[in-house]
Order: sequence, then structure tokens, then C-alpha cells
Amino acid sequence: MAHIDVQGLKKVYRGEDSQSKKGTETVALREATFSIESGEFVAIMGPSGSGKSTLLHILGFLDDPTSGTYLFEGKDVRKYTHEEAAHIRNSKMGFIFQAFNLLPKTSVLENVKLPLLYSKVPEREWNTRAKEAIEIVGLTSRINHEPAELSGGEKQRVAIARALVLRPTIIFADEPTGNLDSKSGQAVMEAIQNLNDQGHTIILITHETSTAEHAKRVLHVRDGAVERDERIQNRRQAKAGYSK
Amino acid sequence: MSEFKIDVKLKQVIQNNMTFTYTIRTALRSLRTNKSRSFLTILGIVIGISSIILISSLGAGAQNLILDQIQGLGSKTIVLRPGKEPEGPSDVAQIFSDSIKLQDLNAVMRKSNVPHADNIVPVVFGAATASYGSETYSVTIFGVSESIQEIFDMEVTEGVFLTDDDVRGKSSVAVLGATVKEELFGDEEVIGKRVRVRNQAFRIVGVLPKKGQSLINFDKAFLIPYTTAQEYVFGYKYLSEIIIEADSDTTIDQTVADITATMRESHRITDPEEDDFYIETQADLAKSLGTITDVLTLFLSSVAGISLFVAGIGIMNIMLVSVTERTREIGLRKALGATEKNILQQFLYEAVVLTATGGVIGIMLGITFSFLISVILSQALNVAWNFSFPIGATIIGLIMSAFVGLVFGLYPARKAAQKSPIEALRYE
Repeated sequence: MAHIDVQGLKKVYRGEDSQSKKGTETVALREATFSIESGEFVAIMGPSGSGKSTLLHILGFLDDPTSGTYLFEGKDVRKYTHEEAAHIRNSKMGFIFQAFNLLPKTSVLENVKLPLLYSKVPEREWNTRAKEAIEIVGLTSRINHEPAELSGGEKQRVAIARALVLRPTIIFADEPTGNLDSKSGQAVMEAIQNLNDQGHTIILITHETSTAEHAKRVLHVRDGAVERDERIQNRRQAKAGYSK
Repeated sequence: MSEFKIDVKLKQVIQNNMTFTYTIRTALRSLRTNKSRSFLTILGIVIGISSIILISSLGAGAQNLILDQIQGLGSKTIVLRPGKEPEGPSDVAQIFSDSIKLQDLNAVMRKSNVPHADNIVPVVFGAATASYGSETYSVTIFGVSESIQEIFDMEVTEGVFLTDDDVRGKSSVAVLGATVKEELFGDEEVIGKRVRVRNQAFRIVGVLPKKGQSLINFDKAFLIPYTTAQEYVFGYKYLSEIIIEADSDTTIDQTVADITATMRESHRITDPEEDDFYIETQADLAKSLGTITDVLTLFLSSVAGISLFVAGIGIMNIMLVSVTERTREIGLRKALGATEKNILQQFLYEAVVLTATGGVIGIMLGITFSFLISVILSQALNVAWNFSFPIGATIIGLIMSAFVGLVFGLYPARKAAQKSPIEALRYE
């Protein structure tokens, strides 16, 4: 059973045109059909406006498709209630964003704990779980710092710790290195590759070929459709540039 | 998936995997990050709640003071007066009516007529000038019988009180109010001295203690036997009033009825409209004064209630700003698995924590202020003002503040809960 299986996925945004008072339609995603197996590391690559972010939002249960089918772990997502969708986002998915999205004036530890608040994990285990995740990304020494005191790379590693604290089966990373210098970007990519090595399915959104080459497979998206499905033979390893 | 009608009942909101203390701590942390804004929001609630506490505490204090003073006069006291009950300032002349005479006193004193009367005191009063040597002072002459001592719990600081023998013998003896004694004698010895009133010399037998403010001020009184007053001072045979004390609180109404019947029989009155006397009880007075302070407290409390309402709208405004400001946070929390319930709960808790904090501070301030004011009032006015702890208002204040948070926090919280995660994440 494929981890993710999409057939003819389409997304149309309807907006009101202030000039003509007529409804305008924007096709963000024209057609997407592919499947992703468990443990894969897939980069979705394309220029801005190609529909890759829309695709990620749909795959991550943050948005619904206008038409087409999406099977997540074999089940049609339209059968999920909103509560169930929120629960799956919480327990099976991890999110890493370009803008980090850490809570300001809140310590690294509390930021990493955030998904635990909405989980079934009992509160007494929260600290241990969060500290384990922070250890994995190598930020134990920064545990009581607030985001404003961290570098961009460190912030993104906090976000990674937050994404993996509930040991999700799949991690979505939306331009995770987009706001980082190349050195910090390397560290973040190594952390993501490590997660894949440990069996997490990774879906990475990027517009940079160099970032996409860390994946095992690249889906090229253009004008709202998957243009090409490419297997990477010589995967780029981020290890060389990683520094704690 | 991102937009659906919110259908959350409050009971469901409470059920959550997050523990209560953690939720409260989260709310407190988020309020701490906006200290000045939280403080200003709390201030509105603090003012509203503390005014409610202050008003009800001071209202209760005033009521107690008034009731205590009336109680001091004896709650079982019934006053029979001549003429028609005054209904306005123009009826004052009725006080000088001469319809109550000694035969009425005798009729009322008969046990078979008014069985529940304990003490009966005939009173004749009027203004006069008292003189001792070269000193003169305007006094109120109270011609009374010795039983007045029991009704008003009067004691003498010096000498003795009037006696039964003085009344029957029409003796020219007097008991002085504290101010009269001071004005005429200063620090001089008074017992046995003679004071002249309307060319009649009175031997002073006793002095009353200083009473201060009370409804009947005996400080300027010149107490003499009523028989003496009628015969030698005023020269008339009628009485200004008769004070009757019922034997218990439960027999007051019965006694009033008995006195009315006795008086009508004595005056041969069949039509109540023709009554040439009227009866007042201390209970009536207490009741009407109690009603006045109740109405006043209620009025002032509703003013405070309005300020609470305004504070509630302030809370709503602040929470709406907070929801807009934290659009990204809401989106993030949803992406990480928060349900609409979780978000609704989070913002509702913040509102309730805000108002409950304001409520607790308001209660403490209100109690402190009303205690201070009661101390100041009793010192400055020299009255027995007792601080009364407003338990009812405290409980109402706590419930009200939490309620304001719930009601005015609900709309912003719902707005927050309904935000779509991607819209929220895109928000800059």
C-alpha cells in the first residue's frame, strides 16, 4: 500500500473580482497523479506559482482538493472528519516551514512541546519527549533560549525537532532552506536526510535544484501539473557541511 | 476541510487531553507576553468588581448603622401621638394637638386593654430656657415617668434617676443631659444644685452620659416628672405623646391594634377616618430606612454593573486584536494538530484568566477600600460604623468576572477557531 496515492488532483480558487463583480477562477493545480511509498524522500520542485505549495497543503491536509482523489495510507481523505484530519496531522505528519513559524517569546523546549499539547501523549512524558527531539537536532545547549536568540539555522532545527517530536510517519518540508545561508542550509538538509534514513517519508518543496538533489526522487511541477518524475541516482549528501 | 461550521458545545470544550493547569499556564504565558495590554484590560474589570464590592459593603455598613441606632431606641417601641399622622410639612401643626389626656394614659395602662404593654411612659415636651446663676441655656424639657429609663436603657453618670415617688409627688427634681450640664455648670459639682426653668426651681438629682448622634438626642434634655411639667411648667393637662414598649417583637402588631381599639373606645370613635391620634412603631421606621439603603445600594450596584459591561466590551476588543495578531500562531497550531475546539478553548481560557485575575484583584481592592473607609468614617464621624464583609458581593463578583470573560471572550475565540490553517500561515 502506497503511503500517498493521488489521482487527477485539481485545485481551483474562486475569488471575487472587485472590478467586474464577477467571480474569478484561479487554477492553482491542474492535474496531479502520482504515488509515494513509505520511506521515500521526494522533492517537489518547480518555479514559484507552479502549484507546488498548493500540492503540499493538500497532501498535508491543510487544504482540500477541488476534485480528484487522495488516498492517505489507503483511505480516501474525504472520509475523514475535521477532527480526524487534525488528529492525523498531529500524530502522523510533521511540518517544517520556510519561515520557521516558532512561537515568539517562548523557549525552545516549549516550542518543541507544542504538538504534544494536542496529542494523546500524557503530560508527564512531554518534557522527556521534547528533550529527546532537541537532542536529535543537537540543540540541547539552547533548550531554554527564545527564538529571537537563535540563528536562522538553529531556528529551523528547532522546527525540525518540533516536526519529529511525535515520531510522524511523514514529514513535509516547505522550502526549509529558503531563509538560510548555505552553511545553515546544509545542516538542516543533513538533519532531514537523517530522518529519512531512520524511515520517515519526506516530502520536500523547493525551487532550487541543489536542494532537490538531496532527495531520492524529484517531481517536477510546472503550471499546475506534474511534468516529470525523476529518480536521483547520485544523491547529494549534506554530511560534509554539517556543524553543530 | 478547512472551513466548516463550528459546532462546539461548552461541555466538549472542557474535555481535552491537555491538563487544566497546563492550559492555565499557557494562557498566563501568552498574557505575560503582552503585559501592558493585559494590565489595561484587567484594569476595567478591577474597577467594575471593586466598585461593586465597595458599594455593597458600604451600603451594608450604612444600613447596619441606621438599624443599630433604631435598635438602640428599642425595636419594640410604639409611640402614640395626638392628632392626624403628618403627611407632609404643612401637617406639622397637628403635633400641637391636645387630644391625648391622662384618661387615655390610664386606659392604655389598663392590662385588660393592652395586655402586651411592658412599659408605658407619658411624655410632655417643650422648649424652655434653663438658668443657673448667670448661665442660661436653651433646653428641651422632657416631662416623663421613671419607666423611660427602661425603654431607652438610660443610666446616670452621677446621682440618681427620677423615681416613681417623684412622679406621684410632682417633685421639682430634674436629670440633666450631658450638654446642659456642661453649659450651665462646666466642671462644677451639680447634684443638689438648683436650676430655674420658667420661674420654677428644680433640684438636680442626676446627669445623663453623653450619647452623641442618635435619633432622639437627650444631650440637651432637661428630664423632669411629667406631672410636674404639666402642673408647674406648661400648665396644661394633655400629653405630647405616650411611649409604649411591647413585651416582645412578636406582640408589636397586637399591641398597636389594642392601643388603637382602646383609644377609639376612649374617644368614642367609630369611623377610623375620624381618629384624633396616630401610632408609629420603630419597626416601621427601620423598614422604610432599610428600603431606602437597599434601593440606593441596588442603584449604585447597577452603575458598577454597567462599568463591568463596558469592561467586557474592552475584553472583547482586546481579544479580537489578539486573534488578528496571532493569526500565524493559530495557523501553526492547527497545522500541528490543534482542532477548532483546542483553539476555541485556548482563547476562551485567556479571556477568562484575564477577567478572573481582574475579579480577584478587584475583590481584594474593594474589600481593602471598604475596610479603610469604614475605619475613616467611624473615626471622623464618631459613629459606630462597622466594617461588614461583603460575602454575597464577593461571590457575585467572582462569578460575574468569569462570566464576562466567557461571554465576551466567546466571539473572538470562535473567530480564532474558524481561521483556515493555510490562510493563517500565509498571513504576514
